[in-house]
Amino acid sequence: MTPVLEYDALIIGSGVAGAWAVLEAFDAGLQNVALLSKVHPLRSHSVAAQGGIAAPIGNVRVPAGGDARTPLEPAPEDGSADSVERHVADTIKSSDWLGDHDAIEAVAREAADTLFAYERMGCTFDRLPDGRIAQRRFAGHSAPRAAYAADRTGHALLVTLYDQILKRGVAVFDEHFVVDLIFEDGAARGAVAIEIATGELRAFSARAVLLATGGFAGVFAINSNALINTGDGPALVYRRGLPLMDMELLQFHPTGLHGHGVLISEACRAEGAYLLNASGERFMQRYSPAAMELAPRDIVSRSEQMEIDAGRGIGADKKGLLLDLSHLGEATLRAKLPEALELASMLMGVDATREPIPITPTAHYSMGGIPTDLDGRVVDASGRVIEGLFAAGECACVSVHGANRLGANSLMEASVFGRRSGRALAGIAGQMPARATIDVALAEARARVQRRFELPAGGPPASAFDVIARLRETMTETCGILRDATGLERGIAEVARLTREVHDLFVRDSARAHNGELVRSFEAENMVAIGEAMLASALDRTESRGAHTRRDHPERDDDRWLKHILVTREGDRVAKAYRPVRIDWAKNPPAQRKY
Amino acid sequence: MSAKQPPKIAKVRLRRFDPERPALPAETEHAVEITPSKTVLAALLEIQATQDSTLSFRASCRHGACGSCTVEINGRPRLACTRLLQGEVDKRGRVTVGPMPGVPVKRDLIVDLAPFWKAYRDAKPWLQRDEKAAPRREFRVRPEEVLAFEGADACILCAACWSACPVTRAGRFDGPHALLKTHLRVCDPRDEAPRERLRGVADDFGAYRCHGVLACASVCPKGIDVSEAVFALRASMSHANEIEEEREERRATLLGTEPAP
Repeated sequence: MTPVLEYDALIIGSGVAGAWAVLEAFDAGLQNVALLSKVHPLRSHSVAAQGGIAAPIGNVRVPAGGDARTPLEPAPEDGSADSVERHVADTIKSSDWLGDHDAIEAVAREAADTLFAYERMGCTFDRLPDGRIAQRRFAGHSAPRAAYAADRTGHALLVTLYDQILKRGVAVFDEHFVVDLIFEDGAARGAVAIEIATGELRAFSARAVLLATGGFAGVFAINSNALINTGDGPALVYRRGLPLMDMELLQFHPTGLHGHGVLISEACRAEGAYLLNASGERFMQRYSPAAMELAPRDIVSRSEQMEIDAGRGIGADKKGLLLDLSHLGEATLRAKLPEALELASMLMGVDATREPIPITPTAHYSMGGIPTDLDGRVVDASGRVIEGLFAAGECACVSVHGANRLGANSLMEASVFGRRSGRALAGIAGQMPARATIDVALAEARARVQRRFELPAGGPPASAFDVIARLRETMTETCGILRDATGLERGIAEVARLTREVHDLFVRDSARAHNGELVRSFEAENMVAIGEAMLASALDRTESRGAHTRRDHPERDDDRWLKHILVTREGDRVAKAYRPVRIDWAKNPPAQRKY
Repeated sequence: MSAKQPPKIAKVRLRRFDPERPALPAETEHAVEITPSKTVLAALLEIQATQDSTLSFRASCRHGACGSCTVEINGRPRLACTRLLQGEVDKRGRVTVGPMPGVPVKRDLIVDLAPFWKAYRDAKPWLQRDEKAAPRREFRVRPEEVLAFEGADACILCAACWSACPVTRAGRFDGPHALLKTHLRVCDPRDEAPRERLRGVADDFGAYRCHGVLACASVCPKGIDVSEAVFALRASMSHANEIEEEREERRATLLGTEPAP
C-alpha cells in the first residue's frame, strides 16, 4: 500500500505566489505545510521576470517640466510622489476596464508593504544614492513605479523567498508532477503526484490545496515562457468540471527575440529604446504618437503585428522588427540592462550597444485562469467557494489585469495574492480525506499512468511532442494577436481532434526514473485543455478589448461585454457563464482608453 | 564552393546512461539541422521530440535565467540554452554533449544535485538580523554596497562552478556557490552575523580549502568572478571583529535615522 504523506496544506508550485503562501501560512502558525513543484523551486518561471515589481512608494519622480525620457530624480521621502489611487487608476485603464476594481485596489494598497517585506528579508534591489530602493518607469504607469534588481528582478525576489523557506525548514518536494487533485465531498483534500526521480506515485493528503502553477502562454508556437509553463493547475480544475475565467485574454509581449520568442525586457523601452520597422522608421508614431514605444503592451504588440502584416517586417520570414538600444550609450546599457545585452549577444549574435536587436511579438502572460476571491479561494461559475481549494499567481484570475496587464504588476499581484492566500490557508479547518478516498484517487492515477505505456489499438499512436507542436501551431495561427470567427472555429475543430488524441498518447520510453516523455504526455493533456478553454472564450467575446482583438468585431462593446467569461467543460461541449466586472462607478467609471 | 563553408548538419553526440537498462549504448549520435538561432537546448528538444523520446535532461526557461540545463558541451559545463549550436560544432559539424562532469549521473544528462543544494542550505543563505529592529520602510543600502556583492546576487545556482571545481570533486568542501552566497551576506550591511559567517567558512572545508584554480570563474555563465569572492572572504577573516563593529555602527544609518548632513 502506498504510504500517504499528510500535511495541513499542500502548495503546488514554487514561484513567488506559492513561496509567499508557504511563508505566510507558516508564520501564521500552519507549520505542517508542504511545497510541491515539478522542478526545483529556483527553476520556477518567476525567476525569469526581468524589469521590475510595481509599488507606489514614490521614491523617484520626473523632474518638473520633464517628459517621458527625462532622467528621474529622487523624490521627497514622504512618498507623496505617487499614490495607491494612481496605481489603481493606471491598472484599471490598462485592463481596458475588465479588471475588478476591488482586486486591483487590494494589490495597490498592499504593494508597498509587500515590497518592503522583500527588502527586509534581504532582497538585493538597486538603490538611489541615499540608499532608498530605486524605481524606474514602466509602460502605462503614470509614475516611475517599478522597483528592480538590474533586469533580473524576479530572480532576486524568488531567491529571497527561497532562502526564507530554507530558514523555516519547510518540507519541499521538488521534481514532483501532480497528475490529479484529491476531492472528497466536493472539497479539495490533496493531490497525487509522480515523483520524477523514481516514477513512483505519491499521495499527499491535506485539509487544503493551493495551486500556484504559473501561466500557460506555452500553448503558443512563439512564446516567452519556460518549457514548464503548461497550465497544469488550471487544467487540473478544468478537467474536474470547474470553470476557468478570462481565458481569451492572453498578453503578447512586444519584444520577444526573433526566432526564439524569449523575452527582451520591457525595461529596454523604459530606458528609451526605439522600435523600428524594415525601413528604419519608428512606426509607433503611426499608432500611439504620444506614448510611442512606452504605450502598453497590447497596443505595441498589435502595432507590430500590423507592421508585419503590411510587409514592413525584417528577416527571411519578414515577421521580425527591430529594437534599437544603440543610442543609449554603452555605459548606461551595461549598468541598467546587462541581461538584455547578454541575451542579444548569446542568442542572436548581436552587439546591442552597436546594432538593433531583431524582435517579434511573443505570447507572454495569461491574464485569465482559475477564478478566485480576494483571498485566493477558488470559486465556481456561480461564485460559490470550492472548499479547500485555493489558487494564486498567474494560474489564478482574481481579476487584476483584466484585458491587458501592466508591466511590473505581475510580480506584485502574485506576491500580494500569494500572501493573502497563505493567510487564508492558515485559517482553514477542513478535514483530512478518508483513506478510501485517497486509494480511489491513487488507483485512478495509476490506471492513467499505466495506459500511457500500453500501445493503443489501431493506427500509429500519437506522441506527446507531436500533439504539443500541433497545438502550438494551431493556437498561433488561429488565436494570436488578431483573431476572427473563421480562424477561431478552425482552431476549435483542430483542438477537438487533439483532445481525442491525447487520451491515447503512447509513451515510448519504458523507464521509470526521470521519464520526461511521461511527464510531457500529461502536460500535453493539460495544454490541450487550456487551448480548448482559450479558443471557446475567444470566439465568444465578440468585441475588441485590451489584448483581445477581433478583426470581425473591432470595437469595444461595453453594453454587452463589460463582463468576465467563465468556461466549463461539460462532456464534449464547453459551457459558458458570465460574471459582471466589479466596478467602482464613482471613482473609476469606464472611459475611452487612449495613450 | 569554399572549403570554409560551415556545416549545415550537426552531428550531436550524446553521452547516455540509463541505470534501468545498462545494456543500452553509452553514446548516441543524432543529425540535427543547424540554423542561426538554434541553441544546443533546442537541438536536445528536437532530438527528444523527433528522434529519441527517451533522452532525459532538465530544462526550463530557455534563456539562461533559471539554471536548469547545465550540461557538458565539448568538455565544459555550460547552460545548453545559452549556447548556439553553430558556435559549438567543429568544422566537421560534431558537438559532444554529456552530463555535467564531476557529479554523479542519474540518467542521461540528469545529475544528482542533492549535495549541491545541501551545501547551499548549510551556508544559511537567508539574511540574518533582528526582526524587531526594522525600519518602517526600507533599509538604506548604498549603491556602492550593492556593487560590493561583485555580482554574487546574479548567481542562478546552475552548479557549473560546483561541477568544474577540482576541490569539490576531491572531497568535502563548502563549494564555490555557497562561499559566494556567504560573501554576499558578509558584504550586505543588513546582515547582522558577518563574524559568525566568517568563522563558519574558516574551517578546513571552507574558504581556505579553495586552491585558487579559478575553474569556477572560468565556467560561470553569468560571468561572476566566484574565486575573487572567495579571496575577498579570506581577506575579511582577518578583521572579522572590525566588520562586526562597523556593522553595529552602520545600524543607525541603515535604518535611515541618520541626521541630514
